Amino acid sequence: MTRVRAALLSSVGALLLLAGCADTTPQERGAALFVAPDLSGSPTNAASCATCHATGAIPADWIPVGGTLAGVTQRPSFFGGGELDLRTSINFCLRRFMRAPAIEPLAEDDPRGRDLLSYLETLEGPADAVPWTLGSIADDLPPGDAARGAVVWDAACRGCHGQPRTGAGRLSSLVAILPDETIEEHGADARLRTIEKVRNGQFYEAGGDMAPYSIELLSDQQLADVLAHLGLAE
Amino acid sequence: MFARVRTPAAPSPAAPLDTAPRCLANVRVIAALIVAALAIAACGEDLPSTSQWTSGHDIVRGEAPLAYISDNGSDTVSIVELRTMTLRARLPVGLDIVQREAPHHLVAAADLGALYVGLSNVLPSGLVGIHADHGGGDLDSYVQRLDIADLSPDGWVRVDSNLGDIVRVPGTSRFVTSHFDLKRALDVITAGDPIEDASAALVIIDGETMQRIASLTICIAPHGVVINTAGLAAVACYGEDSVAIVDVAASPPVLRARVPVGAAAQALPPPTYGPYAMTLSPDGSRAFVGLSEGRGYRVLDMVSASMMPGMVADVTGAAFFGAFSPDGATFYGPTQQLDTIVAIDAATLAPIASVTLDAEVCVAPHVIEYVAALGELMLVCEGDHRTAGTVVALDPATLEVRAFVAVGVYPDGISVVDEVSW
Repeated sequence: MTRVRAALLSSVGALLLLAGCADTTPQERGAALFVAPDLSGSPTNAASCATCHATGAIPADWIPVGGTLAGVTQRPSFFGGGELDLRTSINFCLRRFMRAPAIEPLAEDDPRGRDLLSYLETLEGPADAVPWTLGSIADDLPPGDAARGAVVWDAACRGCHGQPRTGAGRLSSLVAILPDETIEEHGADARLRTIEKVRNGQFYEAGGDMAPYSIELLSDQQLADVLAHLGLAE
Repeated sequence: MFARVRTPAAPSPAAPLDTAPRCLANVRVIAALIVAALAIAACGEDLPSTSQWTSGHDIVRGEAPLAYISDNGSDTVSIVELRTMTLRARLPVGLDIVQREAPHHLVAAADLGALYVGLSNVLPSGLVGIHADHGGGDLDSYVQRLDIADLSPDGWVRVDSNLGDIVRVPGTSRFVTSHFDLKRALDVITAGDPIEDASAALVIIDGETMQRIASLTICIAPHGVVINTAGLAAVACYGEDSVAIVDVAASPPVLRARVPVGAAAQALPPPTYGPYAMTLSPDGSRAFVGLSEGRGYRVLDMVSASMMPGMVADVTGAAFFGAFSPDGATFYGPTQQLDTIVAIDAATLAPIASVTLDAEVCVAPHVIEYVAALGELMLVCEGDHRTAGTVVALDPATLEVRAFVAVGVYPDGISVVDEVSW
């Protein structure tokens, strides 16, 4: 009976171990952080890492603005060679695209950052640097096709901007309703401003939270198609 | 729960498995209790991550001398091993990962363990926005300090807009930046504001604390800067056809004079001569002034703070930053459109030689550095501002090309380190 009792007690212990600890591996906590907007520490942020990044092969119906992070921890550089340090890159994302108020949202010893790193290390993929080229801003795109643009919109834009003209389903009330708000603000320049926003994102004093679409992820033709879909054809 | 397991029920005498001595049974119970206690204790804590961040910045090794090249168009610094003309690394610089910041000229200070890069915050032609072209930007410029061994960021300081040149004050850890602020000049002229407002400043920073320690308004669109060992700076003032003489050793710095570079000097843009580049003689007594509009070199006497009469060397293109032979006898100057290298007798300004460079080797030569350790001239060529520029090794005696290597886009500055301790 003592053996039975001992076995039972050991089993209880093992069950407790399993029940109590199975959901707290660094990788799993990191995976939870990956989809958590509050990682940035901003009460007004609605985006998470998963808003902009795939974690494996990119599905055909999605054009994530940040591409895939498969293999990211093995890459020699990030942002098309603009940064060599992964943690600096992540902090840059948190500040610029997720409204983090802190200068260094994830300090080197922050356990959340290390959990996130543990998760990212599970995303296997090529160790090569990923090309990421920002296009020049010009209003000389090829003619667009509105029907194709609707498909591109769903894959690239809808996740944040929701429905064109109504914004239904947009990521948050801070995200612009397109194209109406751009036309309201920029009038005849709305097309050029939209191109600029897609290609430069928030940078070069454009403002907002948007990340830029590289020409590798979104071609000039696809951008022209979206403009046609929005009624911003030349 | 813990209390319950600490109170085992009395053993059943009929239990078939309970055949061990009682003391052994107690040991088993105690062991089981320990396992359970450990389990309970463990469940209150998460397993910590063992993952470690790495910096991504590896030490760039190579045999001295090493050249650091500012790649204006690709926001990088290229590191070239000059003995083998091998590109050892091309690494990103700047404060913003995404935005172009146009690193424009740089100073390698091995004794300070640092590389100082001027971030002009303007863009090459073809892009719109507030960055604009060289001299036409609205944003402030910065000086970034990087670890010289691996180019990891190590500080920055804001200066004025449209940074033109960055030069170290000899024997100190202070650096001077000029500000080629054509936009300011044109805005003032267009608005009809007092012309004094068109002038831009020379900014002095402390390279150790990365603090801005002085600023002195000197002239319209200052660009090339040289500083002799006495702390006397000569600055090419493009917008007003003059050279400003500034005592940067004084505290605060003092503007000693503004010297017209020629008889046809214009006090306002557009300039007749467009003095743009400065090159100091080895003994610090003279400075060659490169004229981008006047297409020639003229000579400033640093001692008397005056232009030397008759010392005019006409060239076939816009004159850029040159170099002297170690004895000061020969001056080597790059010119653009036509893209040539000229060798000039530094005493008489008589031409010695001139070569037109093959476009496959060099487009738009910008600056020459004489590398004493190799006895060679190193020429930085901007290229077409869209694809890689080059660094070209030239024979000083013949101006023949010995070797060349591709670097980043739109290279425009070179600083050479003669000893590598990392």
